[in-house]
Amino acid sequence: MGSYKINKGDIQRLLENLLKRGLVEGILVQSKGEKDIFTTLITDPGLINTTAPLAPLFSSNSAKYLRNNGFKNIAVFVKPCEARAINELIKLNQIRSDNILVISADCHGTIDPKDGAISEPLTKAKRKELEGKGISLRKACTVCEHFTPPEVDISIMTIGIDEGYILVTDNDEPLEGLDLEKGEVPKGRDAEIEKMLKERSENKEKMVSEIRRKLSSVGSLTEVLKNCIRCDNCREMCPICYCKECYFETPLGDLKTDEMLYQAVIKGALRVPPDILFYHLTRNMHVASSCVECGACEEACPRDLPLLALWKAIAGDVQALFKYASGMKGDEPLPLAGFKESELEEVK
Amino acid sequence: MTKKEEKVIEMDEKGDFEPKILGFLCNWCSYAGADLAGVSRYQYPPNVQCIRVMCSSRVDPMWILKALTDGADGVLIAGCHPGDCHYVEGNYRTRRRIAALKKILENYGLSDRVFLEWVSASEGKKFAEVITKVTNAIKELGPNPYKKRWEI
Repeated sequence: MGSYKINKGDIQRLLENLLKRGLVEGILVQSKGEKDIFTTLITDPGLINTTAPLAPLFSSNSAKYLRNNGFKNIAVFVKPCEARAINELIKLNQIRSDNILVISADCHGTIDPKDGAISEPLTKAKRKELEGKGISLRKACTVCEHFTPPEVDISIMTIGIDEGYILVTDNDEPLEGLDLEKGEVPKGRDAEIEKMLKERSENKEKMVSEIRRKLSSVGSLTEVLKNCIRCDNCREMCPICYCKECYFETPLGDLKTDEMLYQAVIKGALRVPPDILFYHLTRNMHVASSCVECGACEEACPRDLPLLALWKAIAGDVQALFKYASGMKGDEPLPLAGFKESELEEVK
Repeated sequence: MTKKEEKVIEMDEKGDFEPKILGFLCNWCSYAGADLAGVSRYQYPPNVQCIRVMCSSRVDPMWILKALTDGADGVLIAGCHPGDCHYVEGNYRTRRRIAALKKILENYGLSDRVFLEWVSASEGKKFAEVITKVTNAIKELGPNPYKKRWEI
């Protein structure tokens, strides 16, 4: 238990060590290909030098690929939003927690892999340089308020640290044989985080108030969802939406022509594909308390629905109601899986 | 349903709006409360169509959403008073679920159409009052905008 001073190479040494000692059979981490960087599951210690654990790229939330992990030990090196999704899925009994080692590092924000392959964290200087090239952060990252690791096995701090990084862990076993030097978290870190948080919170407020204005009346709600084609991409890419059989794939939710005709009789006409509002409301209800606001749904949407803003508003509301922050702690019970005897008496 | 039948339900003879409200009543308290209201001859509006469920926590929030998007003017969920649930803790869970659901619907302007009430088996009078209150509240709100909106 403790905090250690590390550098870039030490992260790779740590991963290599895990594989060599046989502590884990594979590591989910970002790696460099010939031209791009992508998430890989590495089993060969010899390939560790191709990894780019801190690469600020986000294509999909990799927690999604860990659902129903089996009995083999694996380690994952993920961003805070992915680590939060993993924590939520553990609570939802979708990930076994006893054989997964979660390593997460501070996130300065990510860019879309379409825009380039960068392997260094996006510090301020780096971000300026990118802005010069016309590359900006992903929308979800500009409004992200949880950019430091939640409760995970090993967290790596990169924000507010002048030289190298600081590694913090409760369990020293994975670090054995690395001979790391003890180090302290510098005092300036909190101020740096505060500064980032302030900027992001302002952006978030702006985004949420805008979508609330749009949602306030029925007509404008239609405006927000009008382009939906019910391709279900948002559901597919959501790390939290885990049902093995979705309602919208059962006969009740996936209407045949005759059933659509029956529905059409009731209202006079029916939009095809049907149930757009119902679909989004259902997803809202099922995911809101666990949404980690990673933005994967909006990026998967082929019709550019403002899903991120919608989720920011809705998940924010529901989680604030239960004073819950999804995925931040490993042992906090899910809001809809528990109750208190005296609470919410105003609900009518 | 034919067009003519539908009209009868929507409007009374004077052409005033008659809401169509869906009520989920728990078997052990609220349904018995409704029974008592009937036996005791308490008058209440006929706008609520009741569905008996074994516990208010049996009500999947999706049912409420389905009803609202398909055009129900309101949805009432009634169960035992907190602490009195036949299954010990069911209604505590209902309360959390409905609280979350209403929070979500606030963003869509539909939260005022969902009602959560506690009616025990001995509260026939309260049942009649609840139904009257809910019906009046929905009458004030007007028809569910999604009743005729087919484009979403």
